Amino acid sequence: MNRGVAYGDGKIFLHQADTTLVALDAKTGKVVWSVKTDDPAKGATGTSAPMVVKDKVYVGVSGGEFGVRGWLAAYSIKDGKQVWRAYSEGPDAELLVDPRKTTVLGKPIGADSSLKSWQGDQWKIGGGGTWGWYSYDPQLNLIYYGTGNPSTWNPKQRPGDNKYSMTIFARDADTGEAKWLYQMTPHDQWDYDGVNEMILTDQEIDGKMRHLLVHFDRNGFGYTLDRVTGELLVAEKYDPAVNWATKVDMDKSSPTYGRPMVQDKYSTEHNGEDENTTGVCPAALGTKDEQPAAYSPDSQLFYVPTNHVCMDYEPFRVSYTAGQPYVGATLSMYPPPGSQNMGNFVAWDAKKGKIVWSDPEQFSVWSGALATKGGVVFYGTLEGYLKAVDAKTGKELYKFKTPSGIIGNVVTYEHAGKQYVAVLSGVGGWAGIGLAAGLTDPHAGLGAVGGYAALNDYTALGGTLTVFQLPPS
Amino acid sequence: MHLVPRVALIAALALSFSPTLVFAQTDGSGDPTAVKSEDGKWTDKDGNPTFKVEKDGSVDWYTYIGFTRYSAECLRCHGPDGLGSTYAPALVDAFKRLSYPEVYATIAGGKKSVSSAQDLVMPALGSDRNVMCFVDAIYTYLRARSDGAVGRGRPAKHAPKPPGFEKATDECMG
Repeated sequence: MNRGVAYGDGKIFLHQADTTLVALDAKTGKVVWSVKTDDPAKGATGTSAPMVVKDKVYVGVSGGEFGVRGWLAAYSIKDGKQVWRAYSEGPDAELLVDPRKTTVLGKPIGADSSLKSWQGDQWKIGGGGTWGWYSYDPQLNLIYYGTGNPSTWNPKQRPGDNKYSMTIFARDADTGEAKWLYQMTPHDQWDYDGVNEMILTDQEIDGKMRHLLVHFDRNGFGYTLDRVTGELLVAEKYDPAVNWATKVDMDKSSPTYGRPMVQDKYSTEHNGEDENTTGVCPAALGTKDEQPAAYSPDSQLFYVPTNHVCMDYEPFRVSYTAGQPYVGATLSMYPPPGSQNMGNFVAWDAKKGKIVWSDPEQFSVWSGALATKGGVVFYGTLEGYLKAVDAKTGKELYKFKTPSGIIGNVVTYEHAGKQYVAVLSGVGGWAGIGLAAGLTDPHAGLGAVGGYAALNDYTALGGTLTVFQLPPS
Repeated sequence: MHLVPRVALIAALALSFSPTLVFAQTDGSGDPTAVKSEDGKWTDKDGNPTFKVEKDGSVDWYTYIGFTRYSAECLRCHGPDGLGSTYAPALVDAFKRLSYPEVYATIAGGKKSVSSAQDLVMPALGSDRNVMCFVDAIYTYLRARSDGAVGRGRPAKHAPKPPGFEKATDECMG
């Protein structure tokens, strides 16, 4: 499994599953340099797409289900020399934070903030993978990304906030030093990885132009932050079914400012080990997973492909062995009680934190969205439809059934004066794993197989690129 | 026409030679009937771990934990509910033949059954605490599955967590 490659300086960069970062000559395919970034014998893997900025290539690591300690690193694109490496947890010097200058919600984070949030040396196997997407602001020279779940999935085994898993980081692209950070889900109990994309926009709020970062987290909250300072502006549910927390505390004078208000009923920590906590929304795959949302500067709305899925989550004690799975919970997933649909395609106002419109979908919307200047928004469905909808109202304008389920991202491009829209179909991913891998047990695929069992009736395996040409205007 | 008398004859023979065969099920470890409980852990008359299912379908704690642990550690090869897969045998069948010591030895020491017809290799799990700390629970669950006392999927109801369970787990898991 691999989430993509990057290009720069005449080279293609690929982070292999065995954590080898290779630079290939783009013209010949010859290896220019290669470097080992981590140890696959411990369960570390390279799955995410590298990002190139100026003279560096940035890569992260996967392995939150193996107790791998996450990191983001910068390598010189010339020769593959490591320039910096910032861990997700551990001592300040290895986090690349300055206890006095790095801030959380406007305040300095203080000394040893990560170490104090773990019991003993559990941070060494603490997870916080960086397998998602990275964004860059050239004006601020900051890189933005989120960290994944703490290890293990059994929260009872790792008391504390488990910093900095589930955290948005803003780091200096040259030095790696964190300017600000914000932990969305302290002491995660549901596997709500914080790795989803950070969308950078400039929008006017109360008559003032703000540089914003918008992030649709797995935990079901849509966050809007000032990307210069890390100030939290909005944190609201982008699916009303979300129930693990009532809200995020937005009262700046409160001791729990910025924290989610967790409901005991849905807390797997509160209910304990060997206890099946039922009806938690969203499921572990999140209200949105890694499929990217899109933004239209015209409508000033975000278009968000979402999952409308809940779960049962039963944590249990696990013992760590390097290189072996270190999961510690079983899951099963299903639509929220009373709902027939498992997905929605949502238009979101990130300034207000409000859903503007929402189109229900039978299955999770697992494709990336595409917003266009023409006021048309595109997305794909797990049954295989490419859909075009009105950006303002969500009204369906066109649909086409491709040969397989769509988990690819819809793209548009111009060639020889003509405009095209293209999408890859080929079902898979967490939602489609049952169908793609032939699994039948409802608990398999980390609990996804049961909920998506009916997918089999609507689509088949395949891998096809479908290209549409727009009629001349 | 002559089927009826033959069945009757077999039943009569079975009754006269070995009455227990007719009335109680046996498996690779003998009669699974639960006779003794120690802190929620049931054993049969020979001291082997066994299950206890109440009339309302509620299972004992260790059968339940066995389901969880089986699903976490064994399912990926032996398939859901002990039913087997293309590369590991159905344990619901194997348990009809295998005794508790044989099962324990295979889990701890692994097994190789490689021939021109098959290529079965089970790893030795003796040092894997995630398995060995729950080996009796896994055995109990699969014994219940094999004997038809517990159906597929998660048991809907189970006995409460015995008082000593967490301490024992802590001690074993380290």
